[in-house]
Amino acid sequence: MKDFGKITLAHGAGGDMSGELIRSVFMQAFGDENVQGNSDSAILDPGRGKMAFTTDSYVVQPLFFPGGDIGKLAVAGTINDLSVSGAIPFYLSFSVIIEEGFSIADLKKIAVSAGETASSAGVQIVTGDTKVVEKGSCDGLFINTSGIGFIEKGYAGISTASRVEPGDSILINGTVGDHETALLCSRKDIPVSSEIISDCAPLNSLIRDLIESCPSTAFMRDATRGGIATVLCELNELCGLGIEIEEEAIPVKEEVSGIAGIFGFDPLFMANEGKVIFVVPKKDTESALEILRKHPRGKEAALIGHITENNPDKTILKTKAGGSHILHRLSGMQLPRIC
Amino acid sequence: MGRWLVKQESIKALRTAISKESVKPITLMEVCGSHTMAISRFGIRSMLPGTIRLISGPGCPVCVTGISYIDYAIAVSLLPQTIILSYGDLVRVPGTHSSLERERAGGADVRIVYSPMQALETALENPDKEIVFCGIGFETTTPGTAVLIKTASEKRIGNLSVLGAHKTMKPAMSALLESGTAIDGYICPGHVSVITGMGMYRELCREYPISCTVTGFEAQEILIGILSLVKSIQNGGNPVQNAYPGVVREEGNPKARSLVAEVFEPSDALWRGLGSIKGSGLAVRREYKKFDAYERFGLEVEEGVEPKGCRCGEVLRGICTPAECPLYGNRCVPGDPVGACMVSSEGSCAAWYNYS
Amino acid sequence: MCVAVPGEVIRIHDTTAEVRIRKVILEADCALMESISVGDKVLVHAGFIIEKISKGESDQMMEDLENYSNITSAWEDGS
Repeated sequence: MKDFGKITLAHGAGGDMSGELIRSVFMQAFGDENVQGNSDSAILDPGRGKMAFTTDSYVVQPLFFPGGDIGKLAVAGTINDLSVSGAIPFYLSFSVIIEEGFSIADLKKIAVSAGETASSAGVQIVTGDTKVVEKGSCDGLFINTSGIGFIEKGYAGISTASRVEPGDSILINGTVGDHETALLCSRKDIPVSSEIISDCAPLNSLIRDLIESCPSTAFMRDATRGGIATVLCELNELCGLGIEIEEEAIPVKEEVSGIAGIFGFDPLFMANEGKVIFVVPKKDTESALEILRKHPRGKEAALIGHITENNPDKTILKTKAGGSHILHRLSGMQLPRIC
Repeated sequence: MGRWLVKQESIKALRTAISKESVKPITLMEVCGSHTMAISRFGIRSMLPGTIRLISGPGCPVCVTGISYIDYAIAVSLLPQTIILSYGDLVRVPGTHSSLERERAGGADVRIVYSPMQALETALENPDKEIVFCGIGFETTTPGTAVLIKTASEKRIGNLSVLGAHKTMKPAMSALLESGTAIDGYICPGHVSVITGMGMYRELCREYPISCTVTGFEAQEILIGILSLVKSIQNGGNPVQNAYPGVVREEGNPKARSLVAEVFEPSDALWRGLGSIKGSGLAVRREYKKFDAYERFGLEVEEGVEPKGCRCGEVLRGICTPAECPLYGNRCVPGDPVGACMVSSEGSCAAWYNYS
Repeated sequence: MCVAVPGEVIRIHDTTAEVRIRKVILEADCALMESISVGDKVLVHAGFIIEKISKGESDQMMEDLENYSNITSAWEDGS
């Protein structure tokens, strides 16, 4: 029969059709030599020390958006989770749950995108799983990626913020809200469009560059759903010190301001997929910014605030108007409002 | 509009000017959710001298929507083959037992829209379903619903209706003054005024000893509005001022008003926390009744029950601050709101909580 | 009620207009306006153009306020 081009329940049955699907779609995209397709787990011995291990699932809609797709997102997101924990990412698993009727051509595009993202970051996808569910049981495609990395010496505790001190500078590697804005502008049901693309990207080389030149880096966390406000509130809780942020200093693209104005959103709460909050000692601020700005993913890096002994239980935003208020985490999602 | 962006020098100068001008205690009320939020967000209260008391009135259309409206919307959402469309904040407002958001989790087809015209598209794309649009909002938003109904009528759309709870500001502003709430001046809503024009404030100022200044939404625009009110209240002179003249015309938008008048007629309306205010609502006219969801579904819904201890009503009337409500901050927080003032991000309690 | 944004009309269709708001293009309904031309500065709310903004008046008012005697004298006082 002619190539149907669509996933059927038979593809998930574990027989020849499953094998052929895995070979022609996934192993081709991830590199035959990498994927240990014949065993339950991949055995790896790169000869390093402490390990970081993370997992995440991706259910983004739409699956294809300006600047990326769910495949790129799934790989970059997990690489970033490892990197901000102070680890060099090495290996990923890639598991999919596919809805019956999904286009195989689209699946191939997503797999190729995932494979390219991984290889551009120097990370290997070594194992995975494929399941097919009946039509209606999932929204097209769900992906789970798990990742292993090896902790850089001295960075084991970097996500606990234990080395953060009053006076330290808070930096970000670029503009906020790009990802959420790109998604909104690509939706067919809302009449907005723009040229902005998602900032979805693996940041391991950016982070590597920074911590090699600035070993005093005291904290790193990537800002995803909930925006940078969420990370800043988490940092406040972790380090037990006050945080002061200058609203004027936060880099925001025009497109993001436009969408924020139209729907009544606040860019501080909008989702990112390629942004990290860094804390470095004050004396290292300029050199840290210079390193970040030299990297393609850090060109618009900025100093946005600092750690302080004042109001240790609060994250405070100094507004453009000269006043200030406490920054809280978002409760629920931002919804388009009329008032 | 670039020069309208925040300028710290003019803000400093305005603050000083206000402090210099303001010699006697006055109370100013704003009646616009976006003003409530901007005032909290910019920390305007901390910029003013102790002589000026800023209180928040019933400016958030979500907050003043009655509980039984939510209960009715939920009842409609539970009917088979029905799609409910709503603006963002309404879906989290608690009714007596549930909210539209919870019902969605339970399987109801509840969707969030940005514009009422999306209801038209949804109706055309789903000819076998009933589409119900939750029409809430004040004068800025009502014209959009009027266009929706009129267009649906012209195109003979048979599966669309509007669950209306649109309200008008002037009756509420009068009612607050009638009830004796001590207000010396109203910070008037800039975008409502785009539609209404200045006329209704002139009427209000003829009937009551009050000043009104139509005000914009950036920090310095709000301070200019406050300065204008301070001068007018203390020095006399014209009690009605337009501090947003690039945007608000004297005559407002007559075309928008005539479209509203074609589709709607004044009715009494229930304002959550304030009770019924005569002539403050808008009901669908007889010619367009088939687009009125109350007529179309004719469901029986019990009288809504306010949650015990909730002081939203007094907060809306500016009688107590959010912090004075016993539920505020413990049982009632933005993530788990009890009353409407906390649900909407521009409700008085949410603004107070998020920007204190 | 109040989440309204200013933009510029860049293209007109049958009943809608493309409005550039910062670098975003929003397709807004023109039913509430008597007439719309390309280049008009407008205010958009809930998917509708609700008014034209007279930029000239805005700039004039800004100048008036900047020249407002109380403001300039307050500024001169060095606050």
